Amino acid sequence: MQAGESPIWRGIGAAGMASIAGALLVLWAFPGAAGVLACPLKELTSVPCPTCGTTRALLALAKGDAWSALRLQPLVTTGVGLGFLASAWLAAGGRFPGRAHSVLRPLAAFVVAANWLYLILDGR
Amino acid sequence: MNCPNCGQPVPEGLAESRCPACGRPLSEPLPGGGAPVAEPVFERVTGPGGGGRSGTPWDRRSDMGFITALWRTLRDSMVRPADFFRSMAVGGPQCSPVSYALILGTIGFGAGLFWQGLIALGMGMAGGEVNRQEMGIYLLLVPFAPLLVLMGLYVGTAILHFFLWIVGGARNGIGATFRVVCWANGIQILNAIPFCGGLIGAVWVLVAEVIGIREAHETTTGRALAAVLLPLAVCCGFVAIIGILAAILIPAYVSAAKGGL
Repeated sequence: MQAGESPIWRGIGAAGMASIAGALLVLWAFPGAAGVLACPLKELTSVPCPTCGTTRALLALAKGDAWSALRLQPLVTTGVGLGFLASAWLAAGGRFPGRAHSVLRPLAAFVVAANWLYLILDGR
Repeated sequence: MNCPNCGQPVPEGLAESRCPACGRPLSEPLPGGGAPVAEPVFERVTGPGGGGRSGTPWDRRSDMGFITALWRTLRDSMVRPADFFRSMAVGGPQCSPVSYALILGTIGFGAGLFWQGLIALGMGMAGGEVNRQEMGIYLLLVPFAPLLVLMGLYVGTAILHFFLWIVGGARNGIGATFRVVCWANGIQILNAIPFCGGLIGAVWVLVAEVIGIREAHETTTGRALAAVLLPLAVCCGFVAIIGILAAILIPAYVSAAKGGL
């Protein structure tokens, strides 16, 4: 980690926690305000995009229905949970290593592809 | 070397043949072109993380004056982004880029909310249906605009840096990405232009971020472009659209080429 980056990581942690908590709170308070936009890719090709179902999953999470959220959009639901934990860790002073493990990059691509395949097979 | 028109020192290795301070050609001094100014606009940043890069005009706002520094920083980041981001410090205190992004970002965000609310109200007055909940949320968000802009800077940095890391372009740490996001965010002031300002501003910010990431991380344009566009691609699935277009256009091109042989 380079000098002066510590406050940025703390800021990312605090902003991440606030964003996730704030989004869920707004969706819980005003569920009707979350306009579920039609996915342009699905409209054009009938194939869902990798983030299709995100709004519905977040609405389910805001209602406390984590299982439905996981079924609707596994990647985003897991990402929200892990993102909140990682944000709390960063805000508390935790740090990621400067150089990530070489396996993480292909793993990230694989996870996104696997989630997309699930959405396509599930007929979203 | 100093500019023959304004007298400002010109950073070494400048790609363009124009003065970064006054914008006039370095090779063609204008007749009576301005008295040399004693105060340098660009100055080597010697603080932590300066790394021999020049600062931005906003870094020198105490010398240049608030409005002049704000205007020059906005102008340079929009019109000469390559030189601007090349001269930007990639480390050091956050207060300068954050304050700049907060001022212009909050004005832009607030103006955007104002226009959205006005359009919603106008549609209601024209006989359409007024979404009271939507208008209520706009009103609710206005006082939180600075906080939302600040959150956007950090969350945007995390997303952009993650994708930059994915494409192997993150060479100068998250501090460089954060500064690019902050300086580019000032362009959000274009939201103040009614109707089309938001769209123009969004595209301009993306272009500035691509150039900024390239210069700040000393990476290739392709990697910078991929890092900025991948989050959009994941959301909108336009990778698939490009794939579909390629699947249509490439066979058409191949058959046309065969027909030409």
